[in-house]
Amino acid sequence: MAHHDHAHDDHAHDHDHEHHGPEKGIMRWIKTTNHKDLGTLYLFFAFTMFFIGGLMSLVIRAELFHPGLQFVDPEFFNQMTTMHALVMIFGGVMPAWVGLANWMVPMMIGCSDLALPRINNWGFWILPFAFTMLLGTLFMEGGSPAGGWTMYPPLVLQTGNAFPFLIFAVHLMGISSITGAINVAVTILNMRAPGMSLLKMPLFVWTWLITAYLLIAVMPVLAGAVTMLLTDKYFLTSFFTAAGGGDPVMFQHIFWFFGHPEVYILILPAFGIVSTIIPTFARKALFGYDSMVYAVASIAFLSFIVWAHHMFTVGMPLAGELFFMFATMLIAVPTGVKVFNWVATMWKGSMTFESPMLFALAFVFLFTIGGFSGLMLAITPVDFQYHDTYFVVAHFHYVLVPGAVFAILAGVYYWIPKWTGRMYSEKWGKIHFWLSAIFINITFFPQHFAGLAGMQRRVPDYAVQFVDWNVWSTIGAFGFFLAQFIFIINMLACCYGWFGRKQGLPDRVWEGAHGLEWTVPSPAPYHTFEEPPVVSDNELTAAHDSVDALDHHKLS
Amino acid sequence: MTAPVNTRLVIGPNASLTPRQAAGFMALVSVPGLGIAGVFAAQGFWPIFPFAGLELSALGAALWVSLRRNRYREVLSFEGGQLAVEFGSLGSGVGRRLVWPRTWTRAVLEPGRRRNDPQRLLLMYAGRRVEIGRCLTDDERAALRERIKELLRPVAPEGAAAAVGRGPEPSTQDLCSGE
Repeated sequence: MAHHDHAHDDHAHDHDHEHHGPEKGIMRWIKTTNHKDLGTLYLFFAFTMFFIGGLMSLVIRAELFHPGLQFVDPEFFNQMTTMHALVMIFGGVMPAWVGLANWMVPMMIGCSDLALPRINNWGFWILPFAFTMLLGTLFMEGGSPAGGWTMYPPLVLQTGNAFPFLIFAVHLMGISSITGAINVAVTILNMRAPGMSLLKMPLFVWTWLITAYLLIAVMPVLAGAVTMLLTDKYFLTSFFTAAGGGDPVMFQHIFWFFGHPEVYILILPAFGIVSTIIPTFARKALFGYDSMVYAVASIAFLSFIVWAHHMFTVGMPLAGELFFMFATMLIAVPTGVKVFNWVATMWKGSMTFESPMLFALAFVFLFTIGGFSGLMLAITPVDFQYHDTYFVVAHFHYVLVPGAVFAILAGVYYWIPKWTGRMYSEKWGKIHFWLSAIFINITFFPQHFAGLAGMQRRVPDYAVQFVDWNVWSTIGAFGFFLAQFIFIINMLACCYGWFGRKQGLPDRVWEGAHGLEWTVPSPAPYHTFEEPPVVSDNELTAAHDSVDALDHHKLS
Repeated sequence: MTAPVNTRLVIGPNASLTPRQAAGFMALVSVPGLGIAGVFAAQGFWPIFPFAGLELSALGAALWVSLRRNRYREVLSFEGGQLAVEFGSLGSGVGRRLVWPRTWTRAVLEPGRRRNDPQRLLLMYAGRRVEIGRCLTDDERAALRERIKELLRPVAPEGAAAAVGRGPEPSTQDLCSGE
């Protein structure tokens, strides 16, 4: 028997495959390298952060319900605006995208897991430490960071004990993002099923590949920028300290060189999800697949050359203003291509309106509103008036909430039957959609008018003339927040089989859906692919016994 | 009895990236990444550069690890009465070679050691066993097992081993150079 075991253990292989099934209890989640487990962890983490960030937004909205100071002092108000943004961007939206990529990219391209499973585990488990540290600053002397998520010096250098923790937390978030991006990029490039060429990949995979590219390109800029802040404060450097010859405006340039691609990092995967859902429920192939890919790539390229539209008012040469204005307006072209393609896909389709489709449709409509207000802000002289007003707040919230967040919700509704094998309640899904769509507009649409009338952002008090808009905004925010519990319960019921929900869905849960993920059972097995991707013999590279194929794979 | 089919099966992980394509992707990322860092460094904001270098190194390492795995191969050669199993990597030669009598070798599909583990495809002969096809999916392993079973079916009755009712001693040749 000893010989027997030796012979088995001695064989040559250098694979790093998953050899173990899930552990029992908490250790399963701590030690897992399985892409589905980690996708689930990322999504639970993201929705926890959405909850915490949402509570912070309610503090802000409660304070702004009436003019004057009601509940919190101005310093804490500023902490809330700063932390709300950091938590929602780095803790909510980005981990949600990484979670969806973890779940879906391997299944969509027909591989069993991500290329670097252990790195995937580390990438996730960095996040709870990063956000514990960041949220822990709320209890430190001087409170949490209050200078805005953009961390502009010299204001941010006035942060109390929280400052180094902020910088360290940002570094950890960056490391997590980078590990996720590298993993997804390498997986997409190297582990596609035979026959799946780049221009046969699902749009969600394409948008994630480009997102990963953007992340890899700009994350070092953020890391370098916050490190320079740290050395300016503690090591007497003067990168951004005017007193030492530094240039604080240069921080804004550097930050937004990261920050604007970051905006697209937050929204590009949403384009992919909407491009996946609309054809399913319109029962038509996506109109203009190639142009969609090129449009996403164009948007990604343009994101590198428009950063200064965030800072027109700091002063720059006229030529610079013109360049950044026109470059920004140029983004409307590929974005218009995408919106046109989505509409053309629906044109004369056999449409049905299940919850994922409703959220996808709302995305198209409301994201376009956010795009239009963005176009207004791109116009330099107009931006001079709108800068730092609630018009800007309304603009980016239209892009990020009915944009990115609605796409995340749509994606979860769309794929949760595949993940759990249980169908969500369509009735409650629709109720959730209509409450969300109504309340999100009640929250953010009035802010356009408040901003146009001159209401400043990041200020806890305001002139009486803005009361009506703010009352509506606050009612909408509370309504939107409460409506999300319908979603949470609906999804948890799928996960845990509450309300008598049984497994037993077909592989292809939506009859209009296409893609390799719908060829595996529902719920998807712990190790995909139980059913290998459908490819012809000529394309199969995994196991050959033809002489022709041998010629390509001879051992030297 | 019909003559045995002489053939070879080459088993390797699925790979959609060639080293050349990987180099192209690295260039596509490195040129703008280092370019951006270089421009900032030229303006005096040098701390961006080491972060860009670190990150691109991590990307390069990830691609290298992934490409290295692509080279793994298992070759099953069915020649006359023998089955030769070779493990190795493209470019590095054969790391290990087993030669077993064809008709005395069995291909067995076993469940994974734990719940949800992938199935294991084992070749067994005279108390020895070796796992193959770890880089395949469960269904691919099942299909491969069926193909191997076909190829292992008895062929010639005149083998000495068959006459005495047991197979010859197994031979294992470790051909890994340098060991």
